[in-house]
Amino acid sequence: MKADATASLERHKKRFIYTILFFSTASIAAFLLEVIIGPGRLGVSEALHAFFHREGTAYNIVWNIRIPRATAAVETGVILGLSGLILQVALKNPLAEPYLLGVSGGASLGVMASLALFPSLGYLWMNIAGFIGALVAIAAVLVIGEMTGYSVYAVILAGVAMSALTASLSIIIYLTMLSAHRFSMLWLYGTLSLIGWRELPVITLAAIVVAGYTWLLRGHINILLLGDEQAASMGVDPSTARRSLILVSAAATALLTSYAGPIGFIGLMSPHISRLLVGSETGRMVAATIPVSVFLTTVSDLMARTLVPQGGEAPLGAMTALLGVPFFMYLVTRRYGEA
Amino acid sequence: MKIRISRLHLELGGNIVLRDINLCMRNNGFNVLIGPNGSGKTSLLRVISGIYKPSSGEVFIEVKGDPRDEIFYLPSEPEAFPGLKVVDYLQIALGLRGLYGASDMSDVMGVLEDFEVSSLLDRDLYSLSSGERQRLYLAAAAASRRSVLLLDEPTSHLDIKWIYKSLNLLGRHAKDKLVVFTTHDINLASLYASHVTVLSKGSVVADGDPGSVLREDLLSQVYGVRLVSGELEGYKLFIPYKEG
Repeated sequence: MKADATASLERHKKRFIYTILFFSTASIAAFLLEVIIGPGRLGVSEALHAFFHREGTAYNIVWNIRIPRATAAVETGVILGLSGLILQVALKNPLAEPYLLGVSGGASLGVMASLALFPSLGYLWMNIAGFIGALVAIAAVLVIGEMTGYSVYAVILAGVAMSALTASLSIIIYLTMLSAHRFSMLWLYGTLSLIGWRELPVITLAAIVVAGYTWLLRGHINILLLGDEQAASMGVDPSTARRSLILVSAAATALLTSYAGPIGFIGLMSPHISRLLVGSETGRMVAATIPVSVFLTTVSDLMARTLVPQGGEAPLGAMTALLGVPFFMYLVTRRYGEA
Repeated sequence: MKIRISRLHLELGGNIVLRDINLCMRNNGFNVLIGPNGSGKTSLLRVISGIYKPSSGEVFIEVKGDPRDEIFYLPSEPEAFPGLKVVDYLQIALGLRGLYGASDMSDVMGVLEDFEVSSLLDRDLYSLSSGERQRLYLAAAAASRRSVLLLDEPTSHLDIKWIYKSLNLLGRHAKDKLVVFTTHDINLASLYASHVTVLSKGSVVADGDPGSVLREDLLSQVYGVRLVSGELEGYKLFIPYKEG
């Protein structure tokens, strides 16, 4: 084999390994910071002490608030990063992600509406209502896609419009129906502050399912990357594959949104950063997107918890938007200017 | 190895696209499909490749192993995902094993070098010129382990040097494969085909060796333009008749 080709492959492999190592280490560091740093009362040394000694309020804060929350950030990263990855391939749209397609907004409207109508609803029904809301929203966006030949920008515009609509309806419900106040206002803009041990199992399950599914179907997703005609000739029916990918990502996003509210742009940024670093092949993409996304989510949550003065807390969704909107602008103007 | 098509009909959205196709193609040289725009060349390739199900009739693909795993179909304008790198394309399209396909890459490197695309591994597919991209696709087809190559207009986008070089390379690297391709260039069929099929309005109007199929009267009628032919270097070549 020619030397330049060998060198190129070696360079690629090295960059892949460094990417995984860097973002995994950074994710672990961010996780630990989530546990030991927090607003006000509990200092770093006390938090460290509580981490190893199971007693007192410090113990309670660390083990029952911060650790489940940091874990939730990890699951959120997995769900949103991989949902973004599979939605981008499924819709052949590099700007696709759950929030910009209206999936997250649809899910949160579903949850809000169900709480308004049935105030004493259990979590399971809230999850289902969120899933239905997510499906209705993505279906509406896909109708626009169908009408425009799945143009990159028409689909995203439809999704953003859907997000605006669902956000408006959610806030109307929130402000007019007392029964919707089971969640704090933070939830409407995305937050991990409402997630404790009780909520974690469902989110963990969603993260495991979406990760397992993406990994097991990586061969099919790869073939979709070649385009519909080639996929069909290789025995992968593109419309069936597309439907199942959209369904799984919508379900995982909806479950997460039921507990965390809509969180945008993680699903856009993580796959893009990963693709830039390790290429598009799905096996590599899964391996890179997970740590990149976990890192971005954990750091964003750390910012949401600590950057607001006087012990307050900003919504996570606002932080991810602060990072994500400039990123989105960059993608629109630089990389896909002519798409 | 052969592809046998019997009484094939294809209807798409209420239109009859292919009617009563009976055809047999083998792995001894190039099988070339010609015919005017809309005559059904692409549809026929899509039926053979399994993208379209025949409305009636049958397609037999007689190969060793599962035909599904033996077909390499190259659309005329593949629509790969934006940002796909050449190395990713090769890994996926050829099913190369290992990280970045590294375990199998040396097996296909010779072909990539012949098509002069081996130095493009780092590039975005869409940053290549259309000619480079077409060469890459043809290199992938030639390097593929699949034994049936169905190529839709494989020489579009190529300059005259690469049209002939690519077909020569394909002939060499894929000499044991069953190769079917479509073209708008009658002279390519004359120069390269061992078997020519002429399609018109969804039907086969002529089928056989180039000498018997490529006739002025037949082709003039099929293409709706008067063609004249002459012999050069032992090949029958066609140009449109220019009036006035």
